Amino acid sequence: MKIAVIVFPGSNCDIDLYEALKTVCGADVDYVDHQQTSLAGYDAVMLPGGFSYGDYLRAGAIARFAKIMPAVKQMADSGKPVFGTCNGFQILTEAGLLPGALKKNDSQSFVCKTVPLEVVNNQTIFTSQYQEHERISLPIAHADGSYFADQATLDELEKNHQVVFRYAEENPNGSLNNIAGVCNRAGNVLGMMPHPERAVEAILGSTDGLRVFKSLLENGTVIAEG
Amino acid sequence: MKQALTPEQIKEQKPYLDWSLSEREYNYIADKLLGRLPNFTETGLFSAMWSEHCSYKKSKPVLRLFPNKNDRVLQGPGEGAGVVDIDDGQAVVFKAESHNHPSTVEPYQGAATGVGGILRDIFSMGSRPIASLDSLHFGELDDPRMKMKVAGTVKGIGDYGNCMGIPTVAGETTFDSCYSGNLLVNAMSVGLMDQKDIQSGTAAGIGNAVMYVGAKTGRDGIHGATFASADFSDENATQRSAVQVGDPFMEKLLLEACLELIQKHPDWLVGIQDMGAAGIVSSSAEMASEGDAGMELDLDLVPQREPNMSAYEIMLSESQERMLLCVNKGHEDDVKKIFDFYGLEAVTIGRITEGHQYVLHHDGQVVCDIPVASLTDDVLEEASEERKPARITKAEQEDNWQPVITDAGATLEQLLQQATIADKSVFYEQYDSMVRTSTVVGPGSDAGVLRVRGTKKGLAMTTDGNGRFVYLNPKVGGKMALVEAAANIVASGALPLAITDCLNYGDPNDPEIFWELHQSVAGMAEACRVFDTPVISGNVSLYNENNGQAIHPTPMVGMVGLIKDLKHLVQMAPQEAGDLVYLLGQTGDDYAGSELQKMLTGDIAGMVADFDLAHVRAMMQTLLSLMEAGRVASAHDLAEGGLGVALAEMLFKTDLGMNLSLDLTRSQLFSETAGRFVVTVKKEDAAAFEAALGQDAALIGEVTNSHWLQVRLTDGAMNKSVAELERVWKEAIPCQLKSKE
Repeated sequence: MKIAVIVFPGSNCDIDLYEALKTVCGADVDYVDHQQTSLAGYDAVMLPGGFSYGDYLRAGAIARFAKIMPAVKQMADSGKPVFGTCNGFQILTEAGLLPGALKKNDSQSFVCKTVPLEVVNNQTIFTSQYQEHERISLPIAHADGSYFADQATLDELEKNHQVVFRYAEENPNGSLNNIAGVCNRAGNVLGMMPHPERAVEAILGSTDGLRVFKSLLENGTVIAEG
Repeated sequence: MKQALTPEQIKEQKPYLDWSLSEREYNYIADKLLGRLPNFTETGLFSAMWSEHCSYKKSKPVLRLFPNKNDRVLQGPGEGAGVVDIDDGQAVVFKAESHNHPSTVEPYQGAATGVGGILRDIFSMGSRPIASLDSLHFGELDDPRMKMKVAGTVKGIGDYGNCMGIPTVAGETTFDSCYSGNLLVNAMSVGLMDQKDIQSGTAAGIGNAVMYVGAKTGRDGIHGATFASADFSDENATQRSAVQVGDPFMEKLLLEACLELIQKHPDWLVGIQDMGAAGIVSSSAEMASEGDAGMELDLDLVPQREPNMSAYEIMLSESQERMLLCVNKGHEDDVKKIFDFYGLEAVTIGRITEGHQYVLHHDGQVVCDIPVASLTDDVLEEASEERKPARITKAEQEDNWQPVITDAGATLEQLLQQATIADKSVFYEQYDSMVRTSTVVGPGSDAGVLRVRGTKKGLAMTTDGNGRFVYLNPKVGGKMALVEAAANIVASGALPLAITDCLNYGDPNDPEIFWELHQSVAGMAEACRVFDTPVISGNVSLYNENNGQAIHPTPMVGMVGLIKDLKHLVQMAPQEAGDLVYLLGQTGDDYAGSELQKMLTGDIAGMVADFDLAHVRAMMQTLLSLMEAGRVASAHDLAEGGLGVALAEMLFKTDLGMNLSLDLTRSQLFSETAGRFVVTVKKEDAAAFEAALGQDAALIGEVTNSHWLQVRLTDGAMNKSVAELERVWKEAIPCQLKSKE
């Protein structure tokens, strides 16, 4: 399968996603810049972390108008895997591809550290190699990661098993229902504040995030070939 | 209306005195360099370029003491940053810069633009920045204003570096009342590059274009360089116009555009330089001087944020996120296309000319026509008076203070809560330390360690400066600063390569302060030679005073080391119960300037003892070769709070403890003798380890499973729960920040 990593002005975890997929997993992956209008030929698309458009106005609020976004939406609508981490998650919510919004952390400060998570839903194309309720630890690095949605949306998310990751011990940002990552109803779009791409090599301290990409490559290949 | 001043009025009214240009310098410029009176714009340019910040006119004679070459140095001082060979055709690029004055006035923007400025220095060399470090010195945390300044500084560093996507991986933060009126904010950046891409800040080739790229020019930061070359006092407490405002998003775009140009189209580019202190004038004049060329600029073409800016304002603005390029004639549009993609300005504002004149046009008039060299090379060096301070002579004649400690455990607990020693995670968790996924060891250790992708290599990096020792004994303190940095690098399994520095001092017109500068640089230089770590870049920050009260002389050493193979990386956490614990180096009764003295007496005093640099170096080399042979399980260097604090720090974040028997007194547990390590070694490696280090290594006990620190001393014992020590260490700073006092 062929994967696109979108580069917005101000993206800065693009290299992290790219290297995790290319060097660590051996996947076929390209950088695609924000001015492109087509993702033809790609089987999955990844939105990286960073500060697209400087986070000016609101994190992800300007990126959703980028020229590439209609193509991203088309991928999502056609059931192909779409993944966003950190700023990528913020963009997916701003673009309406995922429910809810990310607010400023309760602490009002940026926070970078490794936090424990629970894999709540292991039935997605991104999490099938994890056990249900498995405890993992992933790095977070954000100032605007407090997940918010109205009660009806939260109920809906819980009922439909759309909560994929939850903060396990401490809630580092004030997210409602301790939500760290959610998918869309169809399950092909996943957004999460933690950075699995930063936890794919033992030398950097953890490999807990590796199975996000392994799951995608395993299941995505099936989708791509199917 | 200063703008209306004619050359004659300038001579009469001497407005240049307010811009830190002396009458002697003005007369020299008029009589000897120009043979006429300089006009308003020219006088402004001279005052900025001849400031200490740009010209080093006072510190130059002292800076010549530093070694700055060895086999690995590819670029020494004089360019945007220094460059060192790390084999395989690769190089590491680094520099540190102070932003003390702006940060004191406006901590958030001061710190943010400090980070921004040093990053531009790194990528102006053609190198991608891979890591940032800082060295922060604040006043005591019991002052509510200081809490705000600390918060602003930390947020400024975080917001800029995080948005740029450059991990902040190491640094130091200390607290002392001497910094209350004048913070020290030193930022260091490290870049990685292929040697073939090394750039120079040069402008040459008649007819070639001078291109301005990046953000527009506004009225911010005018006279920042001269501002940084004067003291603070309550009378001029509000100097916000001299502080710049940062836009990290703009800088991220500028970084990507510049690197694309440098790496993909080296043939289009002659030279590139950051517009830092003294903005367009310093970058353009320095590039012309480097290329031995003339230059003519049309200031009406400079992209401007505000209407009606004078030539003087355009030239001296320190607006951020701007670079100056010299581009081969005919490639101007090609360069513009690259910057267009990133939405950035790229404008040809002038050309390289025959001869050596520096000519500026503005509003249809020639506003400056002077020799390039008069701005950059003809600066009058100033011989400075020096005098040994009486406090030092007095200390030499008196006996040093000796502590009286009855309960070593209680003292350790108290030391761990001193802000300088206590856990800093409340600060560094606001920095993204992992972005770019190469951080092997992040903040909170001896040194930050990054891997070099695609190789086995690693780079270790640290910043160190302890003004207390330098204040009490400048020469020995200077040596200690270098040794402390080297110890942090070696403790990570790395070979010290070279250093950058920020020399932070008070007003050099005070003979005692100049003596401190001279002596401490002499000490640093001596240590640099012994350790073969040349000074490849750096800056000088003088006039760090408030109401006549100078900071402790605080030279900051930023050092980078090379780990040949990351499988030899050593960390500070002991690995396994049963491993043996060794103390390396001799421990003396060294309490002058120690954290213990500060804590127990409220002040520092006494004479800091000299030590044998060559011996410490030899010990470190042996330790490093043992690490590279895989015979060291963990290592930590001893610094503030001495052995007691180092032992506790090693055990934090582990489940382990230690059972030790020391040939030391309760007091000596906290002595700060330089050049010592605690090392743990597997039992099977003990014989080889002891044979190599001989007298330098003393076996002091074992790593245990108990999570207790048990220490027998010659005059007592200490038995402390590590969990309890860790709790007080962690809670100290958050608790002080929250306290309402």
